[in-house]
Amino acid sequence: MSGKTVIGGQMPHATGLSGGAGHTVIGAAMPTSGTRPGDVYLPDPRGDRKAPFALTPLADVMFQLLIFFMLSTSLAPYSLITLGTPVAPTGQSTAEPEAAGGGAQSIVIWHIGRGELRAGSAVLPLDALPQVIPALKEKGLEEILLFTTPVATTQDVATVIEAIRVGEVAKLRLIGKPGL
Amino acid sequence: MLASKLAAQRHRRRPDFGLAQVNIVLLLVLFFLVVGTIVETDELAVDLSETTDLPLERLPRPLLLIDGEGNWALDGAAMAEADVVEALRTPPPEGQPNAVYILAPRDMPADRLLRTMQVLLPAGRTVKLVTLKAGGDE
Repeated sequence: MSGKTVIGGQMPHATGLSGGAGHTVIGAAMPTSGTRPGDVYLPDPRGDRKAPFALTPLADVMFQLLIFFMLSTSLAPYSLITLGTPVAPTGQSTAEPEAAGGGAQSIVIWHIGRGELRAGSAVLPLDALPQVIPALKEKGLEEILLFTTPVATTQDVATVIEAIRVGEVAKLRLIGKPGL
Repeated sequence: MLASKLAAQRHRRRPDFGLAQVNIVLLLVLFFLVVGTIVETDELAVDLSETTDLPLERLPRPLLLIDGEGNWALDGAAMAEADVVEALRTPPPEGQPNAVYILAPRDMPADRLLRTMQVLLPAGRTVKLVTLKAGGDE
């Protein structure tokens, strides 16, 4: 009886409406079972629509997924610094190997301290590296040998390597204290 | 009277906001799937070094956590150094880079970081240091 409106009650004088044997039918065909004499069928004004798809359970599941991902994920922005590759002979080069026949033209040796860098007798704050490295590159800098001192921290190493990466220096060797 | 009832029923359809609601939540789920990285709470216990100009990366695996006391934990499981190296000798799954990622406190001595490199590199993997991107000038 889905899709049909049933109005109970006898309509003995349904002039102008089709019907027979005590039934009065308006509009559409009458169901063959489950009817009683005198039922009146009206077509559903919304047409023969199926039951609508229930969106509430779907929304519930989506909310649960959303809460799970919100609680279990970290939006902290991470960056990666390559410290060493297994192909390097000493395991401490962070740059591509040199091309055959091409020797390093200009090498600088830096010692990383706590928040500063020592290059020969000069001492530079690590904040000055972004300005220093381009100037050295203009003079032909190709390789940096980076030594760590006992007071240097991981943050100092990361700061220096970041500046070297951004400055696009061709080669970097990170060298620690012997016998570590 | 019957006709008026039928006409009233025809105009009684209310707008359905359920589909729009599901769409918005689905977009949020996709957002967290794309930009988020599932991490364990212990892995965020150390204060990572900060960088400003390096590109953003997702937090990959395997993660080697070095805590303030120098203890090692590979993907959340505490291990001795030799066990970590042995575990890293296993080739990574297809499609994953052959690397190991170090979570180290920013105030850890640099010598300890270099010693960690010396221990890990014989495992045949690239060693990378995970840093936090701090607020830059932009």
